Amino acid sequence: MRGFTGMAGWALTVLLGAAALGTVQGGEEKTYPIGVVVEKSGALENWGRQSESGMKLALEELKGADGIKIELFVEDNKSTPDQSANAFISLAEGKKVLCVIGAVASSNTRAMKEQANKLKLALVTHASTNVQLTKDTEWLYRICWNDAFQGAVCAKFAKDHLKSAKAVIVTDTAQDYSKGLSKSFTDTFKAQGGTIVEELTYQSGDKVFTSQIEKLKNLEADCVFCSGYAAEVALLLKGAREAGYEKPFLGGDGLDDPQFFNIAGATAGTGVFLCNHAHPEDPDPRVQAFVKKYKEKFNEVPGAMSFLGYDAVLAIHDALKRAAAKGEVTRESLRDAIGSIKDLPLVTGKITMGADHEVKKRAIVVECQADKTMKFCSEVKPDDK
Amino acid sequence: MSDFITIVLHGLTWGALIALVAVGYTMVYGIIKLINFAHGEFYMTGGFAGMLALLLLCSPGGALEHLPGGAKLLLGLVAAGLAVAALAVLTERIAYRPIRGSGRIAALLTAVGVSLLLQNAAIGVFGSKQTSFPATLDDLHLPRWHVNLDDLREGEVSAYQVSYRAPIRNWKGEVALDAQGKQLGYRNVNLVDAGKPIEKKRLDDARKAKPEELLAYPSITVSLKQIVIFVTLALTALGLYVLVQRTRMGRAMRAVSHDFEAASLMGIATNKIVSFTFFIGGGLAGLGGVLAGGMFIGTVDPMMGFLFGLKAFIAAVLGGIGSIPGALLGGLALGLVEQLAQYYADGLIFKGASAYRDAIAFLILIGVLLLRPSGFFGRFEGEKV
Repeated sequence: MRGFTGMAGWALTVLLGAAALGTVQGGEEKTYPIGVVVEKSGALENWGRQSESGMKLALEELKGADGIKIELFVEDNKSTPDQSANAFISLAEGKKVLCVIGAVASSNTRAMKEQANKLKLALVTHASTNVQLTKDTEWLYRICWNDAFQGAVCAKFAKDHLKSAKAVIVTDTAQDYSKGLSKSFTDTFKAQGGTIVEELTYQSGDKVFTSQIEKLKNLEADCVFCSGYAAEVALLLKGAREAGYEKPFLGGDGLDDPQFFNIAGATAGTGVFLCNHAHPEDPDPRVQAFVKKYKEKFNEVPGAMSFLGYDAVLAIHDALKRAAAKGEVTRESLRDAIGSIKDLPLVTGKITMGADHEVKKRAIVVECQADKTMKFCSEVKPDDK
Repeated sequence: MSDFITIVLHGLTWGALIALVAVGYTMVYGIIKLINFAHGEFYMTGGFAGMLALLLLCSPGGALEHLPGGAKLLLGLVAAGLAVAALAVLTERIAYRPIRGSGRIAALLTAVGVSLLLQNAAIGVFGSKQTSFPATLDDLHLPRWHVNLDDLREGEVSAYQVSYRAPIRNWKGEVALDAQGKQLGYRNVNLVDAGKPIEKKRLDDARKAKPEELLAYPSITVSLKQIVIFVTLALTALGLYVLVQRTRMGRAMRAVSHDFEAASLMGIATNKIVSFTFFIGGGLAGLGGVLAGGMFIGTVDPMMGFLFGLKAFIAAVLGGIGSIPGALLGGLALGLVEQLAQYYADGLIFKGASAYRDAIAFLILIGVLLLRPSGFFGRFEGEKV
């Protein structure tokens, strides 16, 4: 045993030496290993793909600007929490990355949070919105808004635009994201004088929703708030419309997935609204430039995850630049640099990392169309809340 | 009351699908005493085969594009049934026959192995996310049957809840009918347009809508899909009865089931009988896959056979494994109990209990099995010493 650790120690020294040599020989430009854990297969694979595409585009554009060359190590978490934790450990121990970006689903990010705290390696989530994630941690940062904001935006939209006084909530009890979002929607909706008629539940992977639909038909409500992910909500929506239920559906960013349109088909255009991080038809020139490049490279319209993946790499690049200016970049110094991001302009808005590890950005509410596009409805700035 | 009837009908439909798959389980067990855990994967393969057949044959520009939805569905069913029947025969020939003499544990493990192989092959080819099924019966636009129990009283004018569906969502109101069902007019008409101001013209248009542009929404929904599923099950049951009880092949099957070796000594080609059993069982699982994936749910995915196969197995055990009427009845009972549990558990047990619908259904089944250990129709056979 002792012999083994001794050998490992030597090997490590040699490796580190080689790495140091490599960087010296490389001159000005230095390569920094950054890990990514996203859903590249499984139920949420579209989001992993979009995230990764956004990140790749950002890398390509940066081209090692400011002497910072980022090398991404992308791991697949198969859309499950335990694989997320495994991938995180393997990146931390095997690839010796300086920080990790990911994941999309809050349950998956939560599984990595514990490892991030234990291994003292910064985790930057580009898309997980559950409120609890950034609590009790020195290592997890979020660069998008959270569900407290999203839920409030949805509740306000339900009241102001859908003129709803009574809402039904449909929650996926297997997802932290869905439970948290349902709660924050309920809080705001009640605070503004609305009534939650009933909370219906299902679990990720459910495919038969007749029971929920039958209940919906027997409830007096003005709108249905679905806090779950695309595949299940699409099946619920499709079934409800086929059964003649026509009240508007409202959901969170969890619905912005090509899956939603593929499964819902024409019923996607029957009054479905969702809260989102970005909108490809936003006239903002920066957004348009991004959309154009993304379309050229990947031959598809970017989803919210594409925007957020792109922004995550820009944010890490900014942090690396500032950390490198102060000396050798370590996991700690990079963590501190991420924590002090200030007025950084990104495609989804300008961000400043708060002491609570959160940023403030605007949210957009869009209406889904039968032709798989989304139509802009309203925009909510963080201070409007 | 009407929701109870809807849920019962729905539960029986779901149960009919389980029954179709359970029949294959029970037949294979009856003949070679093998619990074929790959049977759920036959069902999954059926779903994908049906989807591919419909995509290939009926895609835009294809020769069969303009067939009516029902004919397309029939085509998909036949294609999937034959493909899966062939797969089942092949599986038996390659994986099960060579080890038939090696004991039941070996056979069981092989079946689990085949199940995993098929699952992973499907993930490899199609990816692990849900894929939506091409629409077939949706194209038919059949009017819904409507029976409003609360409103139908003899001699009175009855009001039907109606919605104008031409541009999908727009108005909701009631249509008054006299006792003969003649339409008298509309009342309480309101536009439902997700919070947008209502244009007077559209309101007037809606009021002038012709009766055939209206779909009345029933308290009890009986859809064409349900009828198709029930008819398939009824034909299957009838066909199997004739096959097993009235034909030479059926007599041979019964003989092989009774005593494999004695049947072989009497000159029955037992291998042929086993292949034939797999052919029928696999074909029915294939039909189940198309009906469930394609019509009932609307999507197919590589893991769809796992839990469903388990349910079919339990249905077969509940009915008395080896008994065909038992499997049919067991499937119907399981589907019914499961859907009733899903609908009523929240109110009757505790909030959120509907998430345990499978557990509730299985608990009830355990109760039944405690009272009747050999299932509804199973024969109790003393252990041969």
